[in-house]
Amino acid sequence: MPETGPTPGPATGADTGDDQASRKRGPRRVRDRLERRAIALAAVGTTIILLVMFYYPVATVFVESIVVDGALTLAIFLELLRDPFYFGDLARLFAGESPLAVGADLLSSDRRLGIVGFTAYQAFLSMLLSLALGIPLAYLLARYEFPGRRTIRSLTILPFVVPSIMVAVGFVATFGENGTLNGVLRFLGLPTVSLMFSLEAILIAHAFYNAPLVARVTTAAWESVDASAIETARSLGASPLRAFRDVVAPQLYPAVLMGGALTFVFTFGTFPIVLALGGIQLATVEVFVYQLVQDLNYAEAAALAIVELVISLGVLYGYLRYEAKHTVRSRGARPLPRKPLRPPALTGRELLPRAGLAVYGVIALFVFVSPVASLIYRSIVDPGAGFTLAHYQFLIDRQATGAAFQVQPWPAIRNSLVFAAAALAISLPMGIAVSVLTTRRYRGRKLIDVVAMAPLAVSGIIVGIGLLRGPVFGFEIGTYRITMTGTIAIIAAHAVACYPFVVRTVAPGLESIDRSLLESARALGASRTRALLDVELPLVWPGVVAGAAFALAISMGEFSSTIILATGTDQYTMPVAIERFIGRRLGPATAMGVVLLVITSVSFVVIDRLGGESFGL
Amino acid sequence: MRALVSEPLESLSSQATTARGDGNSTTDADDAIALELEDVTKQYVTTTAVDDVSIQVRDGEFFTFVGPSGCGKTTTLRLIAGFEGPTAGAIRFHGEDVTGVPPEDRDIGVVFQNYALFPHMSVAENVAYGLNFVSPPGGVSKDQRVADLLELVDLEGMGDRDPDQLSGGQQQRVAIARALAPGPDILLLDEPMSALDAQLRERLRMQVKAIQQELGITTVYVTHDQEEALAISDRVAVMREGAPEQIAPPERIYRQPSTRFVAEFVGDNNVFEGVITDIERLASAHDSRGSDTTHLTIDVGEGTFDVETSLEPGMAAPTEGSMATVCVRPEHLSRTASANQFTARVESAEFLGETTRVHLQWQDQEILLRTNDPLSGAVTVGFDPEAAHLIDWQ
Repeated sequence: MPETGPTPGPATGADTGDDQASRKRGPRRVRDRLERRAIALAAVGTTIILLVMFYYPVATVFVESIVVDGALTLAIFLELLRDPFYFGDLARLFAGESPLAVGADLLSSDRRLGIVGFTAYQAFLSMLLSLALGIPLAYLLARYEFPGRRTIRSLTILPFVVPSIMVAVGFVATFGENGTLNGVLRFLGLPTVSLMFSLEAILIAHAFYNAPLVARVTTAAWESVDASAIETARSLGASPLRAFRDVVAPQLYPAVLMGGALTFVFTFGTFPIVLALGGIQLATVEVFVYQLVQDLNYAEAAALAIVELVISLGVLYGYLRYEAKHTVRSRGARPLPRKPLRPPALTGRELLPRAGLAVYGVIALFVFVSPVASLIYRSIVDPGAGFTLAHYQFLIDRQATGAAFQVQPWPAIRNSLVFAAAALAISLPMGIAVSVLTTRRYRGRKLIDVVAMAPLAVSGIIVGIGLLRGPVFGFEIGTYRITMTGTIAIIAAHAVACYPFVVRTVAPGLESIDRSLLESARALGASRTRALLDVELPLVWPGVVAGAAFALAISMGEFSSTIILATGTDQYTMPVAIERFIGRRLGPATAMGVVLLVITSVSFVVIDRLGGESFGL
Repeated sequence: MRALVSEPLESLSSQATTARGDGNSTTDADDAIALELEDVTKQYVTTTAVDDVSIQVRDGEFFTFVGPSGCGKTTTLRLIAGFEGPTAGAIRFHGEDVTGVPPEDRDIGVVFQNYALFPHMSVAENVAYGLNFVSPPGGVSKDQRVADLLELVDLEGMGDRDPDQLSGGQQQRVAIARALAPGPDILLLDEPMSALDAQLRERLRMQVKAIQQELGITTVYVTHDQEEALAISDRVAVMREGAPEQIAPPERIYRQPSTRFVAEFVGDNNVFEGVITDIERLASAHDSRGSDTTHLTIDVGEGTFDVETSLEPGMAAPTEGSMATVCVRPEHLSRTASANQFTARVESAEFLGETTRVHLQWQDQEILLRTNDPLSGAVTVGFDPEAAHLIDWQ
């Protein structure tokens, strides 16, 4: 072959003189310098945005809660801890009463929980309910084969994209005074029920939100159980039940615990659902923080928000400590075979679990499907009046008659779209930059990972208050007072909330790219940035698009920080408008909920088709 | 076509870890030093992957690092490529310090074990990728250059295919074409054959060698396969624990290993240790380099061995009463040899096709023997004094 081949290499090896040097070094240098810095520049930009739009505002909140009249003090915290209004009977403990007396009172029936206690209590119950609804679903998805299994499995990613305020509307539409549930009951001639503004409504809504998450992580763990491990146990004499207990269950515990811990943290920081479904008598910490901000009591709001953050982070930290010790997830070389859902034989052993799943199916239909169905139904049907498109008409009417302070539908839709587009434009480069930085191996990578992912753990309320009290209120540099408009603050809050999801979809892809691909490109003359653009990003493109869809959906549904920043301004978004409409005009609220549903469903389809599998949770 | 380098650099082959070339002593431009590592060390948090390595590779030379896994050969290659920076020491290309230069500015071509073809580009796009950053050498067009390279690696007309439509051997040839396309100064190959099956491996390594000779490109090759290293290289560095044990042409590595590790790593070998009881210097006729040939009598416990060996350059003359380490290749042991006979017990035999490898037990030592005869029980074997090589003494 080489004997007859051409000699393409006269410039190779032998002559490495001036010809080669001038061939390589030329105008390329100047452009290179910029290009070479591109990743560094993106990293610096990300750092600045994070500092100004996240860490500085959050620090503002923290400072506000410990500095009173210029003096450093923990008085606000101590007052909080000793106030039975917040901590119930526990507050007496902090106030110095005997633990025995407090303990006895806590065990009695007329105990007081306080706001924090109630928040933890409802979070705990929500967790139990989510586990109860999530684990059977995981069992169904991991162990049975049936048409639509894959679809249901991918639907479990929905909680990450569905705006919680939309869920709240769906629940009002279902369980409200004139909701579909009561409609059905009336139709059947049964007495109506009043579930609104009750703990039950909140718990079911939380389960709607979090049970899929529990199912998602548990299914993943169950599918990774190696069939040969069970077969080994069986061959050694274990019964099927015993093999499950000894081999399968230990591999499920960490996942179940993870689902439980995340549910607790999410529902402990619940806000829109409780705001919409609970009313003030069932206020949780976040709702009360919001209330305090409305009353301009920023110091106490800040302190309460910090207390909430500490408790949430404490639970997360405890869970992570557990996870670090118990990572038994073996990549199952051979997963367990799935059983058909149709019973192969009419024996008790085959029928019993399937009967259980049938019962579960009815409950799941009620919890998961009825709110969405009611949402859509109520947006096009008025009780008594029949089919109508008036509510959608209302959304696009510019409402010339409405007073200026009233929330109008069209600006809400427009704002949502503008904010989402802007947040996407910022969060996508941020997310890619952080992904690149955290997939390379170097000392301190973990720290950068934690610092960059912190926005996932800090509630939107805190970011909102911080942005409001910090950049929006303004700060002085010399004699200049720099303030940020509410629009920029909202976009920043959205971008900071969105970009961790971009990281979570892009980073796993980058991580899985063979290092030698990147190195080949570098050796062939590509700068780091060129290699990223030419090789890495094209290969993880589905993840990038999925990350963008995530960002869009999350920005669209963002509620906590937006409602704080948009109150009293004309920068309200769809979720804020929905919250305003809920109490007064359910029709427009459901119509707007359907608009959100459509947008998030499209996002979901994009994520599912392109990046759902690699999503790092 | 460049002639094979026939003579080793004496100073390089003698003492491995402190090897220094004397590139200045030659005026031949072809013998210029293309690549130099000077006191290069690479430390990780807990380990030292490359330990104070100094090596010079001449222009146009095919230089191979061989060693067991974890010996630092791949790390050395990655340091040369610039994928990692050394903890200490300097790396020079044609005398120019490139230690801090990023890989894209080093004029290198790299071929990896797993091909590392860009899966989202066609074969032609892969080969053309490096031409985005330099104009093709020789003033030809980009397309012409790609066509030339594909022809060079026997893949003409395959440019429009996707990499995953090619076999492993074809993919690796694309990777080689891609690495060569920009006309790099130095070609670096990191275990490029390891993912291929044995037959393909042997064919491809012939091709690689032919291409290298045709282009005359300085080539650094990393492999764990000592047979491959011997077959393909101008010079071989046998690596162990981060440093070369011996740097020499393949024949010399095989016939005159400078350490016990090299003797046992490269091919089968029988290593004996014993006390030198008698030394006699011979005026030798059959040593081409004119070094002294010495006759040693070594007490190995059950009897004595007579060994005729030329001393490694730089090795001090052995003294009576010191411990000598000598080696004899299995193919040099025979039942017909009249000298150095000893009797060993047959333990097991492996039929290898053209020959049978017999494992013998002698004293506390395993002895390897190549033969075609069926053996069992006790056999007496021996070897010619010239067949033995003195590795070391102390």
